[in-house]
Amino acid sequence: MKWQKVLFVLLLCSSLVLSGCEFKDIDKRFFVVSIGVDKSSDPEKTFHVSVKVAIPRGQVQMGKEDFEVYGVDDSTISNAIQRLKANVDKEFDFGHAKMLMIGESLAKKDYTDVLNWAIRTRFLQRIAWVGVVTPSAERALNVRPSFERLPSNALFLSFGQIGVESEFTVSRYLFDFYRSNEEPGSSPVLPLIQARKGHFIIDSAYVMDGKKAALKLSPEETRLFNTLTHTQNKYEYVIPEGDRKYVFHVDQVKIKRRLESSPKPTAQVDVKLSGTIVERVGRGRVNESEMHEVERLLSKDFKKKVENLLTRFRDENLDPYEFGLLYRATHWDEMEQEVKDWKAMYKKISFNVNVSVESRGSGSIE
Amino acid sequence: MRENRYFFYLVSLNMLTNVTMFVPHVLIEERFRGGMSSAVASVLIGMTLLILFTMQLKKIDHFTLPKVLQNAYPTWFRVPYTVLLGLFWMTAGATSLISYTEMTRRFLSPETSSMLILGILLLLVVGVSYMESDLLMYGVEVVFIVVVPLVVFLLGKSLFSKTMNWIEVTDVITHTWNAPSLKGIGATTYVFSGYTNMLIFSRSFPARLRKIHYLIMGLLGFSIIMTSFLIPIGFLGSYSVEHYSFPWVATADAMRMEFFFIERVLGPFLILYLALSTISTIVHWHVGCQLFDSLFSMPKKRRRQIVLGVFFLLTLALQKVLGNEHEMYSFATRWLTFRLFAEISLVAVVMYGVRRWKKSS
Repeated sequence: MKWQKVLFVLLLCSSLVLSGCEFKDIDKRFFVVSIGVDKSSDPEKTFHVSVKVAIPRGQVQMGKEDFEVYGVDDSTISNAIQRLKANVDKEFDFGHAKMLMIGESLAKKDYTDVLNWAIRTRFLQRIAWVGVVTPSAERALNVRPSFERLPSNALFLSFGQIGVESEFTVSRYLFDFYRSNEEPGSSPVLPLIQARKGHFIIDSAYVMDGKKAALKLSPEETRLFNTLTHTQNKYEYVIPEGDRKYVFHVDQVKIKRRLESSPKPTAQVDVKLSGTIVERVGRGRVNESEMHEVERLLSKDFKKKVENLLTRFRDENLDPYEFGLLYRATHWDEMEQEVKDWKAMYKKISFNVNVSVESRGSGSIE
Repeated sequence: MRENRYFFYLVSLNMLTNVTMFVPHVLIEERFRGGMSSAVASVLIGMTLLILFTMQLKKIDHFTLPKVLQNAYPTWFRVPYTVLLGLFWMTAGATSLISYTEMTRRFLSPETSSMLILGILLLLVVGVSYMESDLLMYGVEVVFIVVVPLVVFLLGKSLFSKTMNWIEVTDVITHTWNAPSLKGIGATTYVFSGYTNMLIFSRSFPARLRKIHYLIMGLLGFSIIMTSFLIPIGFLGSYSVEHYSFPWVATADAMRMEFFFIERVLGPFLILYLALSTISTIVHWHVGCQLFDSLFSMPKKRRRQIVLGVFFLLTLALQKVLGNEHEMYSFATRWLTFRLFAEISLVAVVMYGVRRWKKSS
């Protein structure tokens, strides 16, 4: 019994040894909330790394946040961060770093080193969001929205689906970006964040080819892509018809995909949209026959747009809708064989999209 | 029924600690080859061994392995065999804690020396393992009450998560029709080998198992293998999952708790495995030191403490030898394969021994 007591005291004492570097009080730390990596303007160096450091305040108020942005040029990201530490008097803590921004110019050149660094470090969460930024990541870090309570919170809310839910926003976690970047038969898609004075616009996206940003999607295409991938849960489509216009609000999307290799390689996509008509421009009421007319027009329009988008992906040899993954998941051959077969098949695949639209009404009036 | 509970604890302890024993690593390495089929085959092999072993337990009151060895085997076989088994149990506990230490050090406190972390954990283990079997078991039960809700939460969180990619999982399932590999079977049968601890524990907790219990155990084992193999693949991708040095830590870090007071699941995950790997080491070392103690005529507490002290030093030495995760991984896979053969030999020895003993008495 006595022996156990001695052991217990020893254990308690040994826990005092554990207070090494890791045990710094919160007032001795700076919280880095976002990291941005740009192409360096210095030809000797590769990256321009900048971090946004939140300065804690007692009172949390809209627009009353404090932060600092530090940036440095370096050929490796880790070293850049070590050099940035020389600017401040407190230890960097990356526990709240939830945003990784890649400058557009760097993304168009080669982002692989940034991605590898981000996934390798232990301190960056794998649930951080990744985005491509224009004009540059450092400029985006310096944006100070008047409605922000905490530094960088505007972006976290936009991507996290806790705040705004915009049908134009693609949000990608770091681990998922890495997954689709490495996976054969998949191309990652990242949101394009436009930094403006005092706010951000996130309404378009980039499709990557595994090394660089290859294809820019317009807001219209981004919305279509989001509809296909269930990124958001409500979308609105405008149906132009002469001088009358309708807006159809989609709140349920069901999608089935099939790949067929005979008689010719086809990707079959069955889309079921259901929702309500929320706006009608022009005089008159929406009666039943008109409602069916809207359904018919939307399905025709949607079919054409999706087929165009998918064909465009195919022509650029990109696969953000992950048909290749679907191919691998439905075939029982060896891995390398599947990848090879798919590459050959994707070049000459054609798309067949069936859209059925179900309208459940036209708002509060006919 | 009441005493069967403890048997279940022992079996599920091994099932839950498979992550720290590199079982998912092996399966992930074999995912496009014999990973899935090894998992299916191991259910048959593991359950067969389990059923054969527990059948023997019923035949003798207060069954323990040392008793069987003393009554049915010559000394020249008994002593080396017991020592060998004891060493197996020591390395089982050691591997689990060493790999946990490496995880914690890498993701929680990279500045702390791994010797220190391991040393403190081992002090706890040594301070508990020499106790009597029944006391130890009650402790295991308390830990289980705390840990099981956490496990269920983690599994539920990952299975119903939007970011879990089921197409990736299907992709791996389409590679089932390959021959299972020895490496894979060696790894996955570890999940069922918790019953071997009964060769000491059955003295205090005799198990009376019925068919339904075997069925439950088989299903539980299979689903545990599937989850610990497929969830990382669903999150990290069937192809890129092998780039991660600790897939399960990365998977836990890829989950997000939106409406909780912490967002990252990594913290709870590491705490969970702290409890699990420590308690698993405690159980294994308890069996190990009891085996060494059984070589002498009278059991002694002091002797068990000395044996545990030797285990402690051996583990620290092993930690020194296995410097990085690649060495750890290759050591663990070899160990798992050897363990399978040792387990088969153990079941054979027990079956033959029980038969001879019954005949002679």
